[in-house]
This record gives sequence, C-alpha cells and structure tokens, in this order.
Amino acid sequence: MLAVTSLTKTFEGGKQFGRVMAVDGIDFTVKEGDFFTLLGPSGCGKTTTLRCIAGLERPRSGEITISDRTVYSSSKNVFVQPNERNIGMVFQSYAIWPHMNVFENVAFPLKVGGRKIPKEQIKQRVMQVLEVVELGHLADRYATKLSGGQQQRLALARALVIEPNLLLLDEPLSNLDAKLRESLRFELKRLQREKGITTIYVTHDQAEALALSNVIGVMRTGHLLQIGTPREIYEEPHTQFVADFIGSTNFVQGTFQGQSSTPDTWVVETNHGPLHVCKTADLKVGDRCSVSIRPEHIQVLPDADDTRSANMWSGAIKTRLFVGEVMDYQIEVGEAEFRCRTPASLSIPTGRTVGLYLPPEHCAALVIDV
Amino acid sequence: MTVFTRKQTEVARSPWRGPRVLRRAEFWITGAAILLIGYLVAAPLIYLIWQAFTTRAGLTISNFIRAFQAPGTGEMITNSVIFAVGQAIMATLIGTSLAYFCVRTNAPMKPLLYAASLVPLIIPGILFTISWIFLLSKDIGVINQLLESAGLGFLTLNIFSLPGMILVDGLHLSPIVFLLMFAAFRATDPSLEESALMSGASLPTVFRRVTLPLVRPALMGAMLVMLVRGLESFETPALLGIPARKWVFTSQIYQALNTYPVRYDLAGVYSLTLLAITALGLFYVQWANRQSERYQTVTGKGFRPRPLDLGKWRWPVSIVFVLYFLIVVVAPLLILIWVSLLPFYMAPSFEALDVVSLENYGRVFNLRNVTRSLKNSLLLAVSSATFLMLFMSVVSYIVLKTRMPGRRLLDLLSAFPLAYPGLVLGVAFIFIYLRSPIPIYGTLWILFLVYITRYMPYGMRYASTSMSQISNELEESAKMSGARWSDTFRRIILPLVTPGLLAGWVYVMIVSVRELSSSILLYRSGTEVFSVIIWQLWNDGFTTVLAAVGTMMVFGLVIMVAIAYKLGAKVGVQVE
Ligand SMILES: Nc1ncnc2c1ncn2[C@@H]1O[C@H](COP(=O)(O)OP(=O)(O)O)[C@@H](O)[C@H]1O
Ligand SMILES: [Mg+2]
Repeated sequence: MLAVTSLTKTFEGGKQFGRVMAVDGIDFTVKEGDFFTLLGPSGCGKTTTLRCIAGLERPRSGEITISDRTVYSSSKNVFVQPNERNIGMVFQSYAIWPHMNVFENVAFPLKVGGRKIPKEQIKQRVMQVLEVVELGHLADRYATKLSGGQQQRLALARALVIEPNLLLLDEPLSNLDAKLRESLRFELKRLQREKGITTIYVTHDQAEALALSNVIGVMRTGHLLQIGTPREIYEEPHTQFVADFIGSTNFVQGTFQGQSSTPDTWVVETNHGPLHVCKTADLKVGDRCSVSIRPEHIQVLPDADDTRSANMWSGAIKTRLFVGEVMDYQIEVGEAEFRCRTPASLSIPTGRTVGLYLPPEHCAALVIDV
Repeated sequence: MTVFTRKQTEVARSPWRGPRVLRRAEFWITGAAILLIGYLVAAPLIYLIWQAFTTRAGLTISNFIRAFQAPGTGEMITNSVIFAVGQAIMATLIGTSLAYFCVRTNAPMKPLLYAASLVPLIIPGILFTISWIFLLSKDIGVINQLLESAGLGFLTLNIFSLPGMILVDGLHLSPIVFLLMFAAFRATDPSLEESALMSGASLPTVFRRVTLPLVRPALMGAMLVMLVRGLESFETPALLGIPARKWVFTSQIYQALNTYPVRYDLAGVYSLTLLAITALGLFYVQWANRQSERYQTVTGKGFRPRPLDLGKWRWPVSIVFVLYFLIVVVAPLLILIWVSLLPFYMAPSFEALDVVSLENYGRVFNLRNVTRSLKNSLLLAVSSATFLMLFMSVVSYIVLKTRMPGRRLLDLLSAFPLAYPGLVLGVAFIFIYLRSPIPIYGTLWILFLVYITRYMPYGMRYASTSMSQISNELEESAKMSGARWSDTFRRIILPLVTPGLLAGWVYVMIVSVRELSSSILLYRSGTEVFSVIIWQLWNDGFTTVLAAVGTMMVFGLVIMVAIAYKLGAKVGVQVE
C-alpha cells in the first residue's frame, strides 16, 4: 500500500547550525488497512516524514509509493503535488478554516481542484461523514465555536470526505486534555477499523501508540530503530533506547559472554554477578550490553535467603509507593537501584532485605545506544 | 457505507502544471513590485541629492554654503532645535506620566485617556492649531480673556511664539507617547516593583529607582520619535511661527518655495538636511528596538498587573485625567463648533448666543472650491487606499509566504518612506515631476503618487499583520484536500486577510484625508484637497466658514476612526 524507501530530508538550519538531517534514510512499508504509528521523542523527524509522504515537503532523496503509484522518486525525478495525491491529513493544530462553518469546512475538499460534484451529492456526502464523527447536529456552527474534541473530529471528517487512499494523523490528540484524549483514542480506533482505511499516525506518546496501532515504528534522530507489532516492540525491544522509550524498565550494564549451558539462554556478566537471559540482540562475545527487565517481571521474595542461585540477587527496600492496584518498590542492589512492581497484597516495610528474582525469559540483552 | 471505500476515479486528473507557471508569475510579480516600490522610494531621494549638489555649473557644494550662510539660518536651526526638543520633552512628560497612572494605579476615569489618545487621528494638526489660536491668541484668545478678567493677566500666553508652538505641538503629540508608554508599562513585570515596595521603598522611590530604569529604552525611543515628529511638523510652525517670524526648517522650506523668485536651491538643501536628520533618528530607533528585543528577558507572559493603590491620591490624579481630557479634546472641539456657528469671530458670551446660527454650514456647500476639494480628497483617499491595500497584500504575500529572492529588499523598501517628512517628499516630487517626461505635475495623479509613497509603510503593516496570522497549516490542509493554488488563494487566503486589509484601507483613507504637508506644495488651482482648503480659508480670513468645514471634517474622521478601530481590533492591528 505505502512504501517508503531510503527517504532523506534535510533542512538548512541557518548560519549557526548548518544543515539539519531531519530524516536520515528511512525504509518502511505499510500494508493495506494497517494502523501504522511513527513513535519517537519530539524532534526526531516524525512530522517531517509524514509531510514528505503528504507532499508538503520535498525530500532530498528516496522514493515514496502509494497504491503502486510513485508519488516521489529522486532517481526518476517524480514529484506529485500534494493536492494530487488523494491523501487525507489531520494537522496537529487541526487547521480548521475559521471563516467557514462546520459544513463548509467539510464540503471544501469536494468543491475544489476542478471537481464538479452536484450540490445534492456534496450535501449527502458531507452529512454522511459528519454523522460518522457525530457532528451532524453542529453542521451550521462556526468552526471556531467548537470545543477541542469537536474540532479534532471535524478535522478528521474533512480528511475522510475525499475518500482518501491514506490517512495521515500528526499528533491529533496532543492538544486535548487527558480524559478526552482517552475517549477519542477509542473513537479513532473504531473508525479506522470500521472503514479499514490505511492510517499513518504520529505521536510521542507510547501509551497511545501501543493502544492504537497494528504496527509501530520507533524513531530517533531521523532513523527508524525498530518496526514491529506493539507486543514485539514492548516485549522484544532491540536496543536500550527502544526499551526505555516504551514503558518503564530497569537496566543492568554488563559484558556479553555468549551461550550458556542451557539451550536458548545466554550469559551476561554484571557487577552483581552473572545474569542469564533468554532474549538477546545481535551481540558478539565480549560486547558491552545492557540487560533490560520490566518492573512487573521482577519477583520480590520477602523471605528468600538463597542468593547464590542464578538470577537471584538480594537488595534492601528503599521506598515503596502504593499506586492503586499495585505496589511500586525501589530496591537497592549494591550501587544500583531497581524498580519493581508487585501485587498490592505484598507489603514489605522499607529497610527490609529481600530477594530479587529476575526470570531469564523476561531478561533481554540489548545494544547500548543511549 | 460508500463514503470511505477507496476509489481512484476523481484523483486521476491530468497532471497539474500550476506550480511552475505560478512560480514564474511570482517571479515577474516580485520583480515588478521591487521596481515600482524602488522607484517610488528612491526617486525622491536621488532627486533631492541631485538638486542639492548641482547648479548650472555642475557638481558643487556651493548650494550648501549659500544656504547655510543665508541670513537667519543660524537662528532657524536654533529655533528648530528648541521647538523639537521642547515639544518632545512636553509630550514625553505628559504622555509618560498619564500612561504610568493609567496602567499601574487604581485611579478612576481611565477611559477618558483612551478617548484622548485618538486625538492625533481625529483632529488634524491644522485644526488643532487653529482651535488653540482661538483659545490662546494674544487679544481674542478665550483662555487669555478669562485669565485677564480673573485678575491673572500675568499668566496669559501669546500663542504666536516659540513657547506657544511647543505647547500646541506637545499637547497634540502627547497621546502618541501615551500609547507607546502604555505598551511599555504593560510589558514590565509589576512584581519587580512590588518587591521594591516590600523592601520598604516609598512609591516615588520605587518609580524613580525601579520603574523608570525598566522602561528607559522605551522612554528614549518615544522621546526620539517625538523629536523626529517635531522636526517634521509643519502646521504649527507655519500657522504660529511665521507670523512671529520664528522660522524652523519646515516653514523655511515652505517659504523658499513661495517667494519670488522661487529658491529651489534653498528648499533642496534644507530638505536634504532635514531628511538626513529624521532618517538617522528613525534608523537609530529601529536599531535600538531590535537591540532591546534581543536582550529582553521578561516577555509579556500573561501577568495581569495588579494596580497600585493610590489611597487618598486617587481623586486628585483622576482630576488631572479630566483636566487633560478637557484641554486636549473638549476645549479645541468646543471652540471650533462655537466659531462655526457665528457670522464673525466672537468670544463665547451670552450676547453672542443671539447671533448663533447654522448659516456657515449652508455656505460651505455654495463655495465651489470647497465642494470640489471634498470631491478631490475623497477620490484621492479612496483610490490611494484601494491601490495600496491591494498592492501591499501582494507584497506582503511575497515577503511572508514565498521564498522569492528579493523579498527582504521589498520589506525594507516598503518601510523606508517612514523617514520622509511630508514636506520633504513634496519638495522631492516637485523636483522629479517638473522635469520628468511623465506629465502629471499639477494634476491629481501627483498627489496620488505622493500619498501612496507616504502611506506605503502603514498599508504594508496592516497587510503583513493579517497575512502572518494565517498559519501555514491552513493553506496546507487546503492543499491536502485537493485544492489547487487558485482555490487556496481565493477561498482560504483572501477571505482571511480581508478584514485586516479593510482596516488598513480605512486607516489609509483617514491619513490621506488629513494630509497637508505634501499636498500644500503639490496642489494647483482645481486640485485642492480638503486640508488645503482649510489652509486657504485661514489665510483669507474666512474663520467662521473654516470652523464649519473643520467641524464636519472632524465628524467624518470620528466615524472613520471608529470603523478602523472596530476592524483593527478584530485582526489585532493597533491603530497608532
Ligand atoms: N522547516 C524547518 N526548517 C528547519 N528545520 C526544521 C524544519 N522542520 C523541522 N526541522 C527540524 O527537523 C527535525 C525534525 O523535526 P520534526 O519532524 O518536526 O520532529 P517531530 O515531529 O518528530 O517532533 C528537528 O530537529 C527540527 O528542528
Ligand atoms: Mg511533530
């Protein structure tokens, strides 16, 4: 459906900064009907990538194909104008035209570009889309008189009315308050699934990405680090950066020692002793690496004294925090500090020495890239 | 549901060749705009320099030697300096203190000050000066007579003098300082003052040691702007200074062109000198503004200044507000209306009430040159405002929304006319079009050209303010909707900039209708404009008819200013 190949984009950053490599050789494909999310910290080039797909920026090099139609190719010198690409786009600011009412905003795409659609049909199509986003009763309202959530849905309706091949969304929920964001997230997901429209979504919010997407691409400083399903990204991050960016996690630095005696298990030598891990990135023996384990996977054993067995360490409870259904512990192991999350029923006073078990199947040895 | 199924039908249109064509068109339009603005802005400067440095014998500085050795030149320069400095100090003192009390204290009656701040717009300089002659002239002045009868004769002031000129111009310009300093006081953090108060300083000490240093850059800027305005001022020095033989640059230039034989050399040299001074002053203000912006640490970050409590001083301060309003707004307007109702000038009294009538207003419309000048003024105002706003909308689009080479030059050029005093521009236009093969000397066209040159910076500011408020995303989302450039321009950009352009249109109309100092040099019989007629009526002694004409003009300007304000508030441009 969408194929982006070796895409690069530079900006002239003024005299002081020289050239900014906003997108630095990105490759990915999106299948028909997918909800693909570009996830990464602010300034990593997500918006720029999206605008290159839209045609609002002219890339430096690479190729972009939408539904087997090449819309940009540096080698073949092709550049299709944005208004010729049949892409719906929702901007971060929504870009609602303040001099038109709700109906006119949505009807605009049907009236321009030399399209000759009969009035009746325009009316019918606009009302249909407005019903879908539940704005039908506000058709006459001036767009500037809408609430944030309504503006967001109006922007969506306007993007959808042209029946686009592809829908681009640039942080569409970031201007809304937390509660509204949650409910619109589900709304968006429902709409996308019902219509089966291929969607590219940009966000810096990992929870949003995990909840909405079929596929996530994690970006950093113009590069795509990893592409995968939310589950893969969460459970099998390839690098320390990805693990850190998606959800909270603990890191232990160490040296990769290679295969252990148990099949499918590797050993990492750390300051606290050897650690067995079941997942590993592409590492060679002797490489420095970082072992990641999520707080909820660490087992806290109040009465354990056998700290010599594999992946079993001892530490002292430093602080504890009751957060609703779970307990958050900060536990000191030597110099390091671990965050552990246990069921609320497990209550251990601070200062107590406890055993920590790090199950190998949840430990992943990752490339250090931060 | 059919709406979201992917169909290709409507997309498959012939490839659009718009952008390249458009880019070429943009290129030509940019070039044409630079040429036109460049001509309007640079030709006056070139001709002034040419005229000042040549005689029939060729390139020389003998004009300068002759001009500066002419009898009275030294006194003229001294007078100019005293007048400019005097009225600048007066305007700055009044405007700054009023602004301070208005922003920072809880004194009542503030709306009177806002109303008074409109005076420079609604009462043209010539009418303001004439009103003050009625109020303060040696024998007939109303205020002088009142003082006389109250036994305070030693306080009377003869307005035909340097102090009189300083007083009238200082009062007339004080609202501009008020507006400038109002903004400056609003932009400083009041907690800086409050912490000084908390550490035990008294209110006057806080003002002197904290507030004043904080706004010093703005204060210096305002002072400098007033100095420049004082040097440029023509109406007051002409009406008050010439009878008293107190010459300044502007009145001397006017005189040089109205003697026989005409002294073009003197006019040229004085004009160029004046232009050099005002241009330097304005460039320095701009430069200083940019410097202070760069080092500004406190930005206008949503703090609502909590007003200082004046305590028992609240009412005395507000009485000062009332007095100021009476002096600057009420008194000049009342005396103007009063005189307009009389058959011949008389000071207000109960006996005079017997002869009051509306006869002058009837006479106005029977004077052929008055009605003709009204037509001329309206025609010029409408045409120059319309042309300027359309032209400047294109220019501001190029400057703000394209990456055309030369757009910075356009921006610079269009601001340059701010440096031209009106009279100097008039002199330059005489030099140009006396010789130019373009035969517009003595027609309305030359006035049209001078108006669009002078008011170009204002037109540009309105156009670019409203243009810059259209975020790029509004255009881009239109593009993503499939809109061609022409669709976007017609349906998105144009409707969104229209209110701003309209506000600018009315503003340019206002300043064109009041224009005197350029028109006074360029009109001929038949092309008089409204303010020129007032000037002639004054010189011919038709005082009461003049007052009627003036009253109607003020009334018309009030309406236009109200419209401009309404429109301006909508687009966020401040009328100055
Ligand atoms: N128009 C521009 N001119 C110069 N630099 C830009 C421009 N747009 C983006 N950049 C730079 O490109 C990088 C990526 O920006 P962007 O794609 O907006 O990041 P994101 O959307 O992930 O926050 C940033 O370093 C940003 O400063
Ligand atoms: Mg972004």
